[in-house]
Parts: sequence; structure tokens; C-alpha cells
Amino acid sequence: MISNPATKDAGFKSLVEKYQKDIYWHIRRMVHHHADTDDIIQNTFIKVYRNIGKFKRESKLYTWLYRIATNETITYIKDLNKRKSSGEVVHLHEQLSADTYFDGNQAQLLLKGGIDQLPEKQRLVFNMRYYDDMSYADISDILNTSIGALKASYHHAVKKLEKYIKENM
Amino acid sequence: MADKDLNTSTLLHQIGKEEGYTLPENYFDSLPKKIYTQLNIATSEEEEKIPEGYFDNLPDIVLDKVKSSETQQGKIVIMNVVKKYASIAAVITVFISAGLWVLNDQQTVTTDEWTYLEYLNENPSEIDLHTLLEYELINDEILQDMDISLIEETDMVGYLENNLDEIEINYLDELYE
Repeated sequence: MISNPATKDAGFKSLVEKYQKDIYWHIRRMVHHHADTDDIIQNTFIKVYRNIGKFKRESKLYTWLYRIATNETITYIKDLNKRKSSGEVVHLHEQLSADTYFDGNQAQLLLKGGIDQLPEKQRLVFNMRYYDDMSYADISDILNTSIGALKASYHHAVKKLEKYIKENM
Repeated sequence: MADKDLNTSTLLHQIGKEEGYTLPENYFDSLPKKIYTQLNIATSEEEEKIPEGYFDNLPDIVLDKVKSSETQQGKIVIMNVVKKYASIAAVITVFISAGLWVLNDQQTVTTDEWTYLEYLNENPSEIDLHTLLEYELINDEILQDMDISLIEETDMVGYLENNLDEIEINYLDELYE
């Protein structure tokens, strides 16, 4: 439906309505703040609309969406880091406790801090596996990484998070 | 399945999967509209939106335009042309109104279609029988529902083709009484 020019808009609307929540939470877990997420998700779906012709049917539509959302989010975070004149890495969770759209407790804040310390791929794998219950096959499709490597990444992420939480409790 | 991987992680289990993130009220209702606006895609609200009293006023608007056109141009020379298009415009207006209503009821009117049909209303000289057929604006059921007793032919296309020059300008007034 979305690849047919005659029904593209209607197909796109169905896609937005079906996946907006999944994509929103995927982005939100990476940047934590609602305002940033709102910007990124709009850019994501705009890119989806403009590139729908490039969608290859060998992958699932939703993994393709996740891939675009992931790339948009990574680019957004890199741009934030570039803007930091000091060169230090931005840890987006740091302002979270003051965010209007966060009412989590200290333990949740601590976990977010730990996730932010993870290398980018481990962070992505952890979020998709732990929060989204996504299969390794789908994560593999999104991140273009072998299932074995993803399992290792997830294992390392959990170990690092345990260590971080213990040290910062 | 992910939980299975975490059996060894008591700490993560204790914290749980609640994250503490919140959202502006009705955020997911408004997000699609923000996206569609940036892409110039009509929202369902826009597709359904027809100005209040539009169909009540449309015939008068078209008549005014036709009469205005008649006044501005040489009456005698183009009278037949004006009569022809005025008559078509009157009929088309009914069809377009009814057709749009039917389409809108099925929520299939796009902004482009709406704009095009509005354009036709404003430019009756652009309307041809092909357009009538293409947009399926000729429909016996609609005609019967609207009780247009002056037009009883089942073959509206044939009727229009054979009778365009016979339809008097007064017919417009009768039609909208």
C-alpha cells in the first residue's frame, strides 16, 4: 500500500499510527527527554516518507523503521556532542530529574545513568532486548550485527549495569 | 525471553522495567498531525472539513459567477455558450455537491480531489462529460434522492449531449427553488 503512489499517503498514515508509540519509546530511551524525542521522531517519519521507495522487502517494515529511527537518534546525539565546545560527551540523563516529563524514582534514574555509560551498541541492544522484548533476529536486522555478537553485547551490558548500580547505590 | 537472560541480575529485576518517563497529554493523538503537516499530507480532519453551510450556498455562488460572467462578456455572441455552460454548471453543481457528500461520507475525499472539484465549480467551462464520468458524479440514485423532476432520463450523458442547447437559463432558477 505504501509503495503504491496512489495509496502512499494512506499507507503512510497507517504506518505512523501503528508504529509511532514503539518508535517513540525506542528514541526516548536513547535521549531520555521528551522534547528531543519529539524532534527526532518527526524527522524519522519524514525520512521514512521520503525514502519509502528504498525499502527492500527482504526486511520487515518495522525493523526498517527502527533502523531509520536509530540512525536519526545517533546522528542527533552526535550533533549534540559536536556542539559541546569542551569536547566532553553529553550524558542526556543528567538533566532528567529536572525534566517536566519524568517522574521516576532514584533507582530508575540510577539505571538510566548506567545505561548512558554503555557503549552505543550495547545501549541499543540492551534497550531493545530488555524493554522491547525484541528478538535477537530483529535486532540483528536493525543493527546489521550477527546474533552471536548481539548476545555477547547484551551479556556485557547487563554485567556493566550491575556493577554501575552497585557502585552508585 | 529477555527476562530469561536476566535471571542472574537481581538488581535489574528489583528496579523493574518502569522507567518514570511521562508524556504531554494526548501526545500520540497530535503527533501524526504534526508529521503530516510537514509533509503536506492532508489530515483526516482536513479531509472531512467542509465549511458550514457550504452546500446551501454553493448553488447561489455558482449562479452569481455565471451571471457575472454573462454580464461581463458580449451577451448575444456568447449567449449560447453561456447557456450551455451555465446549464452544465447547474447540473454539475448538484452532482458535485452530491458526489462530494457521498465521497466525504466514505472518507475518501482527498485534498487534491476537493481542490479540483472546487476548481470545477469556479470554472464550469472546464467541465466536460469525461470529467463527469471519471468522478462518477452522474448517479441515478442521487438524482432520484434529490427529486430533480426535470431530469428523468436514465442516460444522463446522452441527455446532456442531446439537450445542452435546449436547456434555458431559467432552468437554473427552477432547479434551485
